[in-house]
Amino acid sequence: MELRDFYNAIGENYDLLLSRLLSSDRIEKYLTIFFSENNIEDLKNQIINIDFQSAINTAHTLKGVTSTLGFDRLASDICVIHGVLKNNETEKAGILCQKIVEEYAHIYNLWFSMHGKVRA
Amino acid sequence: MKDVFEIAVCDDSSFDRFVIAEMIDCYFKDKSFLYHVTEYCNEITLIDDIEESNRYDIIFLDIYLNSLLGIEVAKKLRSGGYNGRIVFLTASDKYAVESYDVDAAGYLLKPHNYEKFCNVMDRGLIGRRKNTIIVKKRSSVEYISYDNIRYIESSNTKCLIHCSDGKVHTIYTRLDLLENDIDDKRFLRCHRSFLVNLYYVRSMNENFVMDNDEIVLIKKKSIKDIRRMYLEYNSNAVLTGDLAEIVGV
Repeated sequence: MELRDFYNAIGENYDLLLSRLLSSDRIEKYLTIFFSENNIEDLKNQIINIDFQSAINTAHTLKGVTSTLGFDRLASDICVIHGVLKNNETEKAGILCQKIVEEYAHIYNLWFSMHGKVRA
Repeated sequence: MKDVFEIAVCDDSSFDRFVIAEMIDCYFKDKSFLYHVTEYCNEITLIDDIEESNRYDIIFLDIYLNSLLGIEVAKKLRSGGYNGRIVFLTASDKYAVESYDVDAAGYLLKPHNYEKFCNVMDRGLIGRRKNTIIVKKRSSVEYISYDNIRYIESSNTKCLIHCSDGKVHTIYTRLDLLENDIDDKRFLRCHRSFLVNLYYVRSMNENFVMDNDEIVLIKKKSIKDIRRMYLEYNSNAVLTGDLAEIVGV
């Protein structure tokens, strides 16, 4: 699977991303770093542990990271949860976090199937 | 100490530090000078390091850091005497106006964009000016105009830039990289170790004789081609009036 196919499969605009980062090698490098870090898991754990200040910081970082990678839908959801966390809306944060975790899992599994690996 | 552009990247996100460091690597790939990147995951270490040695030419600074805002960090650095360039990295334009207060050289908004990054680097960061070579000194940067370069000589790992005012500047790079950078019809690679500015050539025999009587070597095997290029340059220079003096061609 090519990078373009990967982005098509997750419903994102690869051409727009390429026009910003100018190189498919660069995009691939950034994706590798992103998937090796798994900050979404950190966000989930911080929300479960009601550590909202850390969750706000993680969400803020993730906004930039996901938008840089062209994951616009995920970035948009993270932007919403960032606001929700700042307003201390615990219940909403939990629901949104579940959505984000599922969206991320979908992207993650596609990425790993593209590289011939399956998520454990 | 080698003359190297020192760059700091301060961001609590390892991903963003990776992105900026990668873009810096790519930007400098074909440039004819050395650079070094230091990454900081927190602002306190950066402030301490700069207090200790004010060595960075450029600092990329995230706005939302661990304990301080990037703007506050920049104010601290400025009040401590840091006079290098600061570029903010952020997903929000909230502090764009305030960034002028700390004389920011740029304000890069996320998502990251390589072209915009390069524009900021070209415009402000290294003060890259057209038709100049940048020579990094211990505590300053000097811009040598092509107009003032008599010839460039390769010497082991460095190049010596011989200028019309008699000064000789050292730059740690390869002559072929400089040759690629200098896109100017006056410059001719006449020898493995020499790139000559034909404007300052007084005459040519087996070698070039410069206007100050210095000799610049010509590769023997290429002398015919070089003579032809030299004559072509002089013909064009006569037509355009871009000629100092022609003697004994």
